[in-house]
Amino acid sequence: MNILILVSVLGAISLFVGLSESLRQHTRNIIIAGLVAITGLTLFTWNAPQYFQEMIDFDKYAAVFTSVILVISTLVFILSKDQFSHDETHTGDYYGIMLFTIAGAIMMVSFSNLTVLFIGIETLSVSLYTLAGSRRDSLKSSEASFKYFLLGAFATGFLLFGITFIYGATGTFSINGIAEYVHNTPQLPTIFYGGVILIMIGLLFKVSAAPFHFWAPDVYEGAPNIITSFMATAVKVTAFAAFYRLFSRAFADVNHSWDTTLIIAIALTLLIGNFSALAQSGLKRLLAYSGIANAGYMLLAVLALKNDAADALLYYSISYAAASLGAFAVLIKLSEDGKTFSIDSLKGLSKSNPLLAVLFTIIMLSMAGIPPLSGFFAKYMVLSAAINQGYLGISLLAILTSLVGIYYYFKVIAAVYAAPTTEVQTENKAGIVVFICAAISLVIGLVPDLILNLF
Amino acid sequence: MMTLILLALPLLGLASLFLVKGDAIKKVAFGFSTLTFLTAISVWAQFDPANSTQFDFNQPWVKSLGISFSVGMDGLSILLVLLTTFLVPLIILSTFEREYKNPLAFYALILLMQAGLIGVFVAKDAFLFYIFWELGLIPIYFISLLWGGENAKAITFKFFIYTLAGSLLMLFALFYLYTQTPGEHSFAIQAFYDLSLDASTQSWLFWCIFIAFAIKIPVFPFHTWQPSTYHMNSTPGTMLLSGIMLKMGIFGVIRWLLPVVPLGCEQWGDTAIFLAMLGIVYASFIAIVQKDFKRLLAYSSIAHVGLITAGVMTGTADGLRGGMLQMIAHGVNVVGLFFVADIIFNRTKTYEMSALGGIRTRAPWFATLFMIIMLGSVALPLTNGFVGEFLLIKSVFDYNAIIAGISGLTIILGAIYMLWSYQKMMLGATSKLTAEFADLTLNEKAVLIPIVAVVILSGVYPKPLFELIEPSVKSILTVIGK
Repeated sequence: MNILILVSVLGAISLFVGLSESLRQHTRNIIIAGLVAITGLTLFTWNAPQYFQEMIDFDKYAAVFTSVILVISTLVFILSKDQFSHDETHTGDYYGIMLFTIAGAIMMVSFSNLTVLFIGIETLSVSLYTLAGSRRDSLKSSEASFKYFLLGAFATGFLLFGITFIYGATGTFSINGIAEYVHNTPQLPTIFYGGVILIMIGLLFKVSAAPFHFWAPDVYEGAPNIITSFMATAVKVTAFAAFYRLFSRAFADVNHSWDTTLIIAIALTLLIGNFSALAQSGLKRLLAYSGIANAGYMLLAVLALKNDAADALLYYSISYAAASLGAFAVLIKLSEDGKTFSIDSLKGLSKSNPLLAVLFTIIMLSMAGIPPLSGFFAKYMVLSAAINQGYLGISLLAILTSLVGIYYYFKVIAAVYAAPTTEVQTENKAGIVVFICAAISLVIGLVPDLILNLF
Repeated sequence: MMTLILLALPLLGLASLFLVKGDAIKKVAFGFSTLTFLTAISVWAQFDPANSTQFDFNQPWVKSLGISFSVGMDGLSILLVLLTTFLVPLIILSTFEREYKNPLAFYALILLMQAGLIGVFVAKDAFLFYIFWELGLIPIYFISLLWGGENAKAITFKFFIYTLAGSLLMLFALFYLYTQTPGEHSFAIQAFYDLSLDASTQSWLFWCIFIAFAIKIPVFPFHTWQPSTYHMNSTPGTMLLSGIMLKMGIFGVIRWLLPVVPLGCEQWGDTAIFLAMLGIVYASFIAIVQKDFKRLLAYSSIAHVGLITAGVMTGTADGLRGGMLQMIAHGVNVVGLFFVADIIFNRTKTYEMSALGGIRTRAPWFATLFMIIMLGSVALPLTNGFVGEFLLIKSVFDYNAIIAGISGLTIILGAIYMLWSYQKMMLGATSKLTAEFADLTLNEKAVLIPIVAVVILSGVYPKPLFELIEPSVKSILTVIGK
């Protein structure tokens, strides 16, 4: 709870600092310092759960995921240097809105009441609609914002519908209350199942799973690079943490009537995500589709829902966020906002910037799931969680589609080492964020127990 | 502890490459790989053939998943570690007079690959085995991609996707086996050996695992990546692939397939042997019509490993012994032959056999050493190729006389295309390209003479090798026989 308040206050501070012309250039540094401090405080709450009425339950799960989100966000802020230079008077506003997004995210991972979940999702989403359109001079950015808003509002409708259905059936918004109701009711009413499915649709939209993924490539492509990297990492991890929290807490005892629906969604997500990525020539769009494909693997953890699934989801989140953020950091370094950066323009990178090339290779290998990098263990763990629960068919499909994934990730690697066509001019520096992301991919791959023993 | 040193030395060498510049890189890489070879020799000397696995090291790695860093060596491991550590210094030495762009990365990848290969041979935990299996793949992917010749990108993709598809199926099977281990699940090899799964489960597990190995070996019809990958690769890349890497597959069959799913092997052994036989005949005939020497070697390799696979899949003592010996012989010979091809290409800029001729008169040293290696490759008695091939054919003959008869063609056909190619390139009148053919340099002799020495020594006196592997072969047979 304190963490939530602190992040919101930091957002407000950012707005005020942005107003003052003399302090403006320090906004980013102030936020980074603030976020580091808040992350430190979060670590202290790990073993001291805090409750706020029946609304927020800041337990270990919430604390761990909040820490992850805060760390990712800090990295995004480090990366955001000069990213808003086109609109200096409003930089503080953008930073503030990003912090409010994080506040929404914290609500989403620590809720113990459906209303808080809803408020969290809305806080997060509305902030993101704004951020996606933050390049007001760009048609694509505005289009992305508008698309995201329309479809997002639609999905929110589903979610709200689902929540009311559940309320109608159980008479409570509290997830503990719902769990208790499920436990004590032998024959659940149809309206309850309807509510679960509707909530699921709303959440599948938020995690960009097929067939509710259509917004993702366009929004990712159109939004400014820094916002896309924020959405693809912190926001995605949040959505999954919320998804898992809701289903494992409130609906754990419901016999898995939604299995078939979820399995179909996973299968579609894996197939569409991977095969569409195959056809992409732009790096940003490729990463967008790879994000969809990764959502498919993470949904396997939600499907398994038991035993080590939370561990697997946490590990996958960290691994995916590190690799994805690293890839976006490379993109941000090499490309200009608003211009399509094709994979072919990576050609010659190994000559002009060997250090960046090596780090980028590590990141891509991790994405592709090559041992001993973290991406391999991440896939391995969600698959083992799913196989342990007996979902053999969908696991086999996930393994086979990951092979498709390897194809397009290696297409990127091959381009990095190909002979140069156009001269990519960069100084031989990689940037701290790329370095940290590659290091995380390597270290938690070599010592997975670092993460697995957290819960 | 010795096992750890063997694994660590190449990595240490890799790290020290970054400290030096220019020509010294080659020398440091060569120095460390030689040191690794000497360590392997001393391991061989310390090895007590009466016991099976020795030099164990066991350290839990990912406790929550039952994975441990568990390595150790028995006779089979030592023999293949010896092969690896013998060949890698020679492969590095063979590059001393060649220029490869970006030498730091090149030699670093070779050493990384060596560590991965040794790891595959010494792993005693299925998960660790898989990690090393993949670790061996990544360096060769980059070696092929960056130092490969024409069309490297497309060919390397094909190779990579092929092998990775197999690997993933194997991973699925290994994970399934893991869930079947009793109590606290474990990836330990002994736990896998102790499983007694029913025949129908073993049946599908067999295919999941076998395909992974069959692609790596390669066994017909999973071989289509191989000729172009060998042909396109730089010589060191081809040597690593053919000399050592494909042994991972055969070793996998002996260590992880036969004893883990014995009923599956019983059920599908016929099919596997039949496929291997088809590969032998098919590859031999294609080799005969090749005009390009390097491509010919690639196809002849498919024929040779086909016979090894058939012998090993019989699951008999002779088959395993012959398979192990022949792996060593094939590894040494094929590296020698690819270096011969490299020498010819280096001087004449062509692999086209008809464009060559009369090299013998210009380069007697070269002609003699090439001759001996070639005789080893066609399994002349008293060369290293003979012992293994004889045992393999015997094991297949005991299994089925007709298949043995057809597989035996590999010897006759092999003699035909090898002698033919020798005649075309080395004998007769010199052509325009070979008129100025210079004899071997000191460096090239330094590579070929050790190879020739092994060809003759292990052909005349193979007994120490047999003694090394005998107890391990016996213990594998006991596990199969349960």
